[in-house]
Amino acid sequence: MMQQETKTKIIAYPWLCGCIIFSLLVYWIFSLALIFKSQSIQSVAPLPRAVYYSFFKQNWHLFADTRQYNRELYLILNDSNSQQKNDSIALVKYIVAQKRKHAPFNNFEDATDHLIYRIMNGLEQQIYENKILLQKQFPDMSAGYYLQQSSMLVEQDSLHKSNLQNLESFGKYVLQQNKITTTGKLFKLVLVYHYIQPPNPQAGINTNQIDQTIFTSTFKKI
Amino acid sequence: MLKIIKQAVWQLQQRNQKASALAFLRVALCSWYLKELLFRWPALELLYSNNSILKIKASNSFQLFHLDIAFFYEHYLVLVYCCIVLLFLNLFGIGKNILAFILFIALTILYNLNDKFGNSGDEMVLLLFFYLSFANSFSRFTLFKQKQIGVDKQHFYNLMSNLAAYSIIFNLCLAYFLAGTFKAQDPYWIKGIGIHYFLNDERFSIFAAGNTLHLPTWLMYLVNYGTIAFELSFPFLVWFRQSRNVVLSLGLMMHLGIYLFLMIYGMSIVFIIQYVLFFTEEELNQCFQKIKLLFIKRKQLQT
Repeated sequence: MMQQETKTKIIAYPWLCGCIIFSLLVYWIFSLALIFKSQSIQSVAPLPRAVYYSFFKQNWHLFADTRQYNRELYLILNDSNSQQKNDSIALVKYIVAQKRKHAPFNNFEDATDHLIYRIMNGLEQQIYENKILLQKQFPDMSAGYYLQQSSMLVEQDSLHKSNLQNLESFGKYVLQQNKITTTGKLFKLVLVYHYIQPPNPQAGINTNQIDQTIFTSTFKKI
Repeated sequence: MLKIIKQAVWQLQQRNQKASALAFLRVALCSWYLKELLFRWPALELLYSNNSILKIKASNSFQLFHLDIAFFYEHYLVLVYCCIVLLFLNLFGIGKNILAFILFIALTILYNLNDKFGNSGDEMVLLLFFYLSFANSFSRFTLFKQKQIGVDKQHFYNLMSNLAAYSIIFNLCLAYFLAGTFKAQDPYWIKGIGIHYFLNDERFSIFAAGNTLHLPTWLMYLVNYGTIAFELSFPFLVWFRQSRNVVLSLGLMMHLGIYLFLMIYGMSIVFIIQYVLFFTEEELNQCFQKIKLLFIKRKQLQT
C-alpha cells in the first residue's frame, strides 16, 4: 500500500519542473524588485530592467496620484496686422467634449486625449526642469520672470522640440476641424492650471488659487 | 521544506485546476481586444502612421532588440492585420500555446510602437496574454477537440497551466494592493478627499463639465476610504469562500462606477473578467451547466 502511494506521487519531468519553478521565482522576485526598487535596479541591472519594461508594465497607481487642477491648453489667435486678440480655443476642452460625445465608443477621441495628455506631461517636465535651473541661477525673482524665461527656454530647446511641435500641430488640426479661417493670423499656446474647488475650505490646499499659467509661447505664423 | 515543495508540485500536476476559467479568460480577452482594435481603427493612423499629425517616437525597446522602427511604421497596418488574425485563431483555440506566445509578441510590438499611448487596461492585457501563452486554456470553447497526450506530458502541462493561472491571480491581487498602498500614501486620499478631485477631473469624469461636483461629505468619505479598504484587503479576503463573494461584488461595483462615471472602459472590463479565476472548477461547471440547460429549455419551448 505504502509502495503504491509513493509510486503515485512521482513528479513528472522533475528537472524541467524545477527549471520552470525557478524561472517563475526569478520573474516574480525581479518584478517585485522593479516595483519597489526601480531606481536601484536601474543602477545594478539596467539591461534586464529595459528588457522587462519592453514587455511588461507593472505600474498600478490606479488614480492614486491626485491632481488638484484641470489642465487647459489655449490656442490664442491674433490678427497679424492689428495685433489684437481675435479668438481663443480651449484644446483640452475640445478633446474632452468629443470624448463625452462619443462615449462609450470613443476610442479615437480617447487615443487623442491620451497622446495630448502625455505630450503635455513632457512639456511640463521641460518647464519644471528649466524653472529649477533658473531658480538656482537667479533666486528671488518674480513668478512672472520664471514663467517667461522658462517658456522661452522651452521654445529654444532644439533637442526636445517635439512636445511643443506636436501641440502646435494638434492646435492647427482643431482649427481645421472647427473651420476657423487662419489667413493673416498669428497664434500662440498657453498652458493653464484651473484649480478644482476643494470640498471644504479646511480640507483643501490652494483654496485661494484659481488659475495658474504654466507656459506661454510667443506668437507665430500659422 | 523540500518535501512540502514536492508535495505542492505533485498536487499542481494532477489536474488543471482552473481549466474552465482559463478558457473563459482566453475567449473574453481575445473578443475584447478584437473589439478594441476594430473600434480603434480610425485612430490607427494617428497612433502609428508616418502621416500622423502627431510625431511620436516608438519606445526604446526597438533599439534594444535591433528592430527597424521605420519598417514597422511603414507597415503598421500589416502588423494590425496580423494581430487580428492571431486573435481570431487564439479565440478558437487554434495553434495552442505557440500561437498564443506569437500573439503576445505581436501585441507587445504594437504596444511599443507608440510610447505615449497605453493605459492600465492595455498593460494588464499584455500581462494576461503572456501568462495565457503558458496555460492550458484549450479544454473548452475551441474549434477542435484537444488531442490526448501522454500522462507525464499532461502532468507537466497541468503544472505550467496552474502556475500561469496563479500568476494571473497574484498579479491582480498585487495590482489592487499597490493601488491601495499608493492611495494610502497620497495626502488627499488620506484626508478623505481624493475621490472629490477625481470626480472633478474633466478628462475622466462625466460630472465635471463646468461646475464643481460636491458629494455629500459622508458619501465622499465612504467612497474614498471604502476604495482604499477594498484595494488593501482584496488580496487577503478573496481567498475565503465567505468573504470572496462580498469582495468580488464590491470590486464589480467599483469597476462599474469607473466604467459609468469616469469614462475608463478598457481597464474596468479587463479587471472584471479576471474575477472568474477566483471560482473553483466545480462552481464554474455548475454555472455552465445551468446556462446550457437554460438554452435547451428555450429551444424545447420554441419547438
